[in-house]
Amino acid sequence: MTADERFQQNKTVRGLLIALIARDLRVLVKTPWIIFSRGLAFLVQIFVFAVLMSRLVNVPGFDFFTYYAIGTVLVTVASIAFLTGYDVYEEAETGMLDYLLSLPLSRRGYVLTRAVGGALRSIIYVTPLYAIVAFIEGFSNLLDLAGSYLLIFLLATGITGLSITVALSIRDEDRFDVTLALLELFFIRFSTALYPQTFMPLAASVVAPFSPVSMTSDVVRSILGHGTVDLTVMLGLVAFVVSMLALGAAMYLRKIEGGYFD
Amino acid sequence: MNLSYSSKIFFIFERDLRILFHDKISLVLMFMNFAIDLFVSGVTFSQMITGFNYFLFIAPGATLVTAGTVAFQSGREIFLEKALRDLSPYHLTLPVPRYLYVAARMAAGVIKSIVATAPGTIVLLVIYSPTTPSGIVGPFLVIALFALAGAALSVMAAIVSKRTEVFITLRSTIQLYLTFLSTAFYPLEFIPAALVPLTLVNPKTWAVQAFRHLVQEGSVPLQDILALALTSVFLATLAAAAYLRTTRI
Repeated sequence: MTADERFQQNKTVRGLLIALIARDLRVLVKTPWIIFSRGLAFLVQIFVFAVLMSRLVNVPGFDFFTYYAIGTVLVTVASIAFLTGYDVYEEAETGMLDYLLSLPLSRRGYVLTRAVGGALRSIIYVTPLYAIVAFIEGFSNLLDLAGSYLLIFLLATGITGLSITVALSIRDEDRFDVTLALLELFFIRFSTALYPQTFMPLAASVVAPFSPVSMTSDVVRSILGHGTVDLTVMLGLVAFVVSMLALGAAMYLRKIEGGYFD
Repeated sequence: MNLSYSSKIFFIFERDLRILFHDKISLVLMFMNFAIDLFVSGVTFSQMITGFNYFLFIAPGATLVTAGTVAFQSGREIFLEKALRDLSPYHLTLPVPRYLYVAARMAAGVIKSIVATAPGTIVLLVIYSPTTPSGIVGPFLVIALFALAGAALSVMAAIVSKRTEVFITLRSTIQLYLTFLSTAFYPLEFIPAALVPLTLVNPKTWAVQAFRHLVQEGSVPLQDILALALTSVFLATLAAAAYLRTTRI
């Protein structure tokens, strides 16, 4: 292959990757009602639930509103990231996946692109909400905000990878719905996103540190509060992202080679 | 075949109940959701709140969340039959008056809610251990009345929605209102004055209050149960009127 041909091929692959990511992002524009309802849910949780609960919670030195506001951003990101699994499942059901897999992209490249597309969609969606929380909490250090933003993006990438893996490993629609709903429930409720580990019941507090949502929320709170960052927790989050992407790619290889409908 | 009205209504009930039991995994999921709501989130919040037993305060809300979700299936089914399955014209040809048809669909939503919430309600009865018959039977009546309001709201959402995402948005918004602008999580005196009117017309406010009184004291103030019943019946009448108006030839 000549250098010119290689250049042309790389250009095509790059174009395809961008097109796939743009396709995932277009879903945001196509679903304004869903954006409205999730945005409203976020605002009600912050300005009604968190405000009123912070009047009830009486733990010295603990600011429930700040804690919950940051957690709500992470919970929203996680929920949106889980939606990519539904898209992939629908594509597999309608046969669109067969076409997508005929594109001149490696399976790994395809999974990575879908995960990044889903994560970008989540992060774009949550940016105004993140800005609202940063504004009301007075987080103004750009480096802290950017670092936290990057971690939220990582979490979204990992969860998107997980939802793609689930979408490709379960064929029955009801079972798929239930599995994804359960995973979302466990990832969020058994995490430190909405409440601190010390107040959780024993069983939940034992598993909470292993939730990637906990890992992200702990590190994000440390960064925004100018505290120290636990590197092992960050490594745990990175390990989650890498393993979910690898699992997603493996699922594509296992399930798709020879045809999904076989 | 000449069937009586009661038999026809029974068939509508039976069909809706079959839909509920068709998806058994969802029933299990709903119970798990209830259990996690109560024994993880509920217990955690109660550790952070002192001065009163917050766990017992929020427990009725957990089972009413399930009741609301299941009651909303009435409207969801009507929406799916109208917008996606094209079954509504067929249903309108059935030899059942339309007012009875829509009433039966909402009543089926109530029965489905009682069935789906039964495991959770039993868990709550074990926790509260009420000693009077009204403390044991009353919560089921409260769930039925609240589910009627939920079913009515869902039928109205189905009537005004033409697209799936509009119905989903209305469902989420209504559930958001029912959950967060009620006294399920916080006492009325903590709610800002501007939000109090919205809280007072919320059927969940009266449902959780009636539930708490019944399981803790064995009786319920007339005001609570009357407000819940009136709100639910009013919403059901409104939903039936809206259905009759939109299906008029």
